Amino acid sequence: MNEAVAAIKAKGYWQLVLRPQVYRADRLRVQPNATNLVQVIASVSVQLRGWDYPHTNLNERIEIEQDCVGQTTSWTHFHETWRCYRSGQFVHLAGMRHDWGAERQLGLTERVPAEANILGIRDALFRLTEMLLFARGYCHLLIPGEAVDVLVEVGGLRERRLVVDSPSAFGFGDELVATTSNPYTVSFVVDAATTEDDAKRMAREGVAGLFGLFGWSTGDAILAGWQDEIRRW
Amino acid sequence: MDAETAATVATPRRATGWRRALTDEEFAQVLQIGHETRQIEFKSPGRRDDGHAFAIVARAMMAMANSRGGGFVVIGVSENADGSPNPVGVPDPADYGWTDFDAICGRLSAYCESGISFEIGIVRHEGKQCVVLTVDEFSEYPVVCKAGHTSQADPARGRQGPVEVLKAGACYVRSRRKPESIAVSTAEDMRVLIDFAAEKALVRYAALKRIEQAHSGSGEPPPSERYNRETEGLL
Repeated sequence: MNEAVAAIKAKGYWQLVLRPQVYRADRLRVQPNATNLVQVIASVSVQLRGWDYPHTNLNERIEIEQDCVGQTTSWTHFHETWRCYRSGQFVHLAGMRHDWGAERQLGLTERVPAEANILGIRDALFRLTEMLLFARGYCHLLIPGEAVDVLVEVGGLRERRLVVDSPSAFGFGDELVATTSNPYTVSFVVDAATTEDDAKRMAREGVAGLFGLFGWSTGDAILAGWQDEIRRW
Repeated sequence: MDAETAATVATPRRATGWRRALTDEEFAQVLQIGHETRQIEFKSPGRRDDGHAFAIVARAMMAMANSRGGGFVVIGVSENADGSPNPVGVPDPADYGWTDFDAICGRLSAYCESGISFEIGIVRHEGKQCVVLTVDEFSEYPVVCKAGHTSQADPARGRQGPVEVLKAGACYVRSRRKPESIAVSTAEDMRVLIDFAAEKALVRYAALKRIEQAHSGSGEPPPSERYNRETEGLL
């Protein structure tokens, strides 16, 4: 396992894998167009909260392999790496930011020990929405007219506590702690017909399943309402 | 004719590749049964360009297409007062418009959501000619009626008021209670139709599976394995 990946996966993480349903080894040109490919990824990256998903930076080192191009970022609480393969497969892995020291902004009544790992409900909804919107853009631009499997994995959940991560809101009355040692996985299919609303709906489905592992559920309308507010958070 | 023989005559073989009209002898046997069956429907000798006549033929064809094994729509058989069939024949099938396949298809397309596979044949009985439309069962999805037809009152032909012959959105089948073409209205008729369509879907799925297996037999590993190999060093 790659060193950066091993470090990220040692804590809580978000993993996105995009795979065109039809395998073609030479779908994309990764050499000598590495810079171009990074620019293309940047053009479909999603920026809902200041930090782009996936993060690209042409001023940082581009990791070029025979069959893929990628970048790795390790800056303050941002730890992530991505790869784009000749086949069109795309992999993105990011550490959960609070596990890497991001400031906690919790609900008014949340009482969470400093050492407890947390998963913010809005952070999770943000992340799934970013993943699915990026998957849609990636599919439309790089795999036009074809279907792409979207595989999401969320790891490091055991003993993690679900929290309300908005200082203007109340908190959960109960401790919502995940007990599973297994990663949460969910998959979708995006294609040329997938709209932005479809992607957002998939994100809500995905995050609802994740919340279920903490024994919490909420209505789709509430999640949709939060998604609509994303740009105002 | 005994019941077993009648059933054999009245029940066409599965329509898989089966395309033939009734023979004159078989038609004579069907008339001997004395009534319509689930897979044979008689129609009076109307003209193709008669809206009412065509609509009732279209309804019968849709119902046959939605029935396992398909069936026959025989044009040129009226009904006697006691309900028995009276093969009065079609005076001139070509002039009545029932031998022009393309023209029939054209008119059918106005009523049917999807195509109906059929063939045209002629049977003769005691010097009279009847048109036989041999209808195949649907190939993928049940046939749904997409446009309605209401025939206006015509006392001369026994219609005292408007009659709704076709209803948009209806799915016509051969009734399981008596030989007639009706819109699905019971749970049993719906279940039979759904089961039938599900069987077709399974056959399509099996065919796709065979193609996939043939492809995987080419020596190439499945896509998931090839993608996994790419990320072996990373993940």
